[in-house]
Amino acid sequence: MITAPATHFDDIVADIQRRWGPKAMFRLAEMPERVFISTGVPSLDQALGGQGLPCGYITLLRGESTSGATTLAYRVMASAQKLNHVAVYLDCPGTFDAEAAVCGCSVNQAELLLVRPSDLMNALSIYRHLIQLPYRGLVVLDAGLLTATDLEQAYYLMLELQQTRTRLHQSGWTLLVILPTDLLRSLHRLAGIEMILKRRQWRESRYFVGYQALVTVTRHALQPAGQKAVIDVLVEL
Amino acid sequence: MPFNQQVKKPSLTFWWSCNLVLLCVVIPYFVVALERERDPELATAPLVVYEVKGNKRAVYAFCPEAKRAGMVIGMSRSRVRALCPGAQERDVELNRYARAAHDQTTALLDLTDRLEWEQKASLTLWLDMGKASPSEMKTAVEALNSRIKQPFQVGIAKGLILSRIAALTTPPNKARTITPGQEQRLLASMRLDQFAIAERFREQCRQFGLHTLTDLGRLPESAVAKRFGEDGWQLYRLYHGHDPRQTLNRCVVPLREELAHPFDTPISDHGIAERVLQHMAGQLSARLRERGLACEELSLTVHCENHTLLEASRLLAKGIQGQKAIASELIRLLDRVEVASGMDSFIVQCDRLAPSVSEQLDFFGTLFGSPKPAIEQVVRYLAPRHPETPLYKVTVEPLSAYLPERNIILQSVTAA
Repeated sequence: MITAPATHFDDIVADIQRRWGPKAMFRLAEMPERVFISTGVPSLDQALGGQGLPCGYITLLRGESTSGATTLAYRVMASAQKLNHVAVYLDCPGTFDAEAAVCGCSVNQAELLLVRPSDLMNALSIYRHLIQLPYRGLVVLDAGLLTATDLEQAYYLMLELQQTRTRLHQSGWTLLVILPTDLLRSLHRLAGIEMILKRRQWRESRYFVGYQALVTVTRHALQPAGQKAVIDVLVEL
Repeated sequence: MPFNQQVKKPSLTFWWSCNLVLLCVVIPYFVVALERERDPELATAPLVVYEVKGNKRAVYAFCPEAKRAGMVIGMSRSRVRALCPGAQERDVELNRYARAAHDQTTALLDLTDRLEWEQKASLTLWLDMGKASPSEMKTAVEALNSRIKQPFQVGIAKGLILSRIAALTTPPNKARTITPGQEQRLLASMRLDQFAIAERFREQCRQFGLHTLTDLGRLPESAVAKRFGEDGWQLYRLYHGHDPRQTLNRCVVPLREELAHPFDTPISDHGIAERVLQHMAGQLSARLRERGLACEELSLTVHCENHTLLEASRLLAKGIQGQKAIASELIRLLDRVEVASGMDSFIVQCDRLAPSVSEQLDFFGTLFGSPKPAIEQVVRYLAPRHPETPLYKVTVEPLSAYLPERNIILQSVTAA
């Protein structure tokens, strides 16, 4: 007679977990829940499925200058910090606006590391090192000023993201890439989420000056794409 | 062609260029030198070493005299006898050559632990010297003279292939340095068929009338990426000074950790012996941790007062690194030996060293329950790896912290 294997299975799982760590083997029912980082904008979170950006994926924020992509990245950083994630900003163009991040988007300055790499390749090398760290964190790679003439850098960006995609998915890190709208469109295949931002209209009130940006989710790995949301981008308080 | 529709270029494993210096040492007649070292009578005679393939023999290695007679690797025995009738013949002993190559490699490990080697008829060693200064490189080359008995050639360059070519084009016991910018001059006249390239690429080169690296290097980059596959792309990048592959670290060092503890007066108390073993375990554990290694075999040697030598060893089911684990294994070994008199000294050996846990498996364990990371930990990890990249923490100027207009400062941070 074949005996019920449940006890043996428990023993095997316990033994493997003891030797190799709890993530090496577990029952499907005990699978850790997917972690999401809020974008800081409820309507956009709703458009992304209700919870925000899934951890472990590449998220592409596409938009031209002053489209609100950087501001959205700051807000995601602030949300990630609330989840005790490390926030690292790889500032390739050297345009990080500390005041907007800290004062405008509530980024916790004590938990933010700003890196000014010499070029995109250096930034990618740092990114590769970062995702090997056993922490949960968010890397924002600002390549917003990349142009079609930076052919080699763009190629390496694609290659690097392709090579590290699986590693990123297994790690506790999330990558947010800021890119121009029309550059490297084929990258969307590697991304978990792709959003295109477009500036819509200026708004000026007694309390703030800014504009509204339309965010279109053009790719979502976990649900159908196509949702839209509007975010407010403050220029001046 | 629109940028977004560009042709996908072939994948390169390590693409980013680095400023590291590679020192390539070629010992051209390594196998012949080993044979002559074992049998001094062969010192003056032409020598050929054969590889046995089924019932045929083909040339595996030969001496410089045989080379002058026109011998090439893979030549048949009858052809060798026709070319060089007086040549002495030996059969290949691959294990002995591999052991000798390993010993030679180990002798250079104090120069760098990032070392790759390739042994055939000749022995080629690549030493990754990091960002060594010219004076350090000079010292390293001088150190080679005392550690390599056979004639050797040295090439210093940024890439694996470049350094090897530099070494091969240098007279014996000389070093040749290829500084950045000189690559094209070195490679200009090299024929494409001198590289181990795929047959399809060879045929394409013939069709397009490309014979040398210069012919290929002058083509537009996109055309090479589109038409000539990975081989063509790599050679093109090599010509333009990119050879970013790294040494493969085939040799894990050290292969053994040893620790001795002599006693001033012989001890017979088992409790004291256990305390000493625990202390030794701590020291060994620290050494292993420093190198990221774990030992899979432990042996304990006890020198006794009555001049007897007691030994016990244990092959472990899995590699251990921690003090507690090593100490408990050592105490178990001490219990196994039957000590009849006072103990003069302990010698502990950790053998079969291997990486403590493979990267992938290590990854499983560390993610859960990892402490809340601090930026300092990330900085401590990143700063040594990217010393030239500025890292900043964003801080608010204290005086303006409570004002509506806060002054934000970017404060440079370092690993310290």
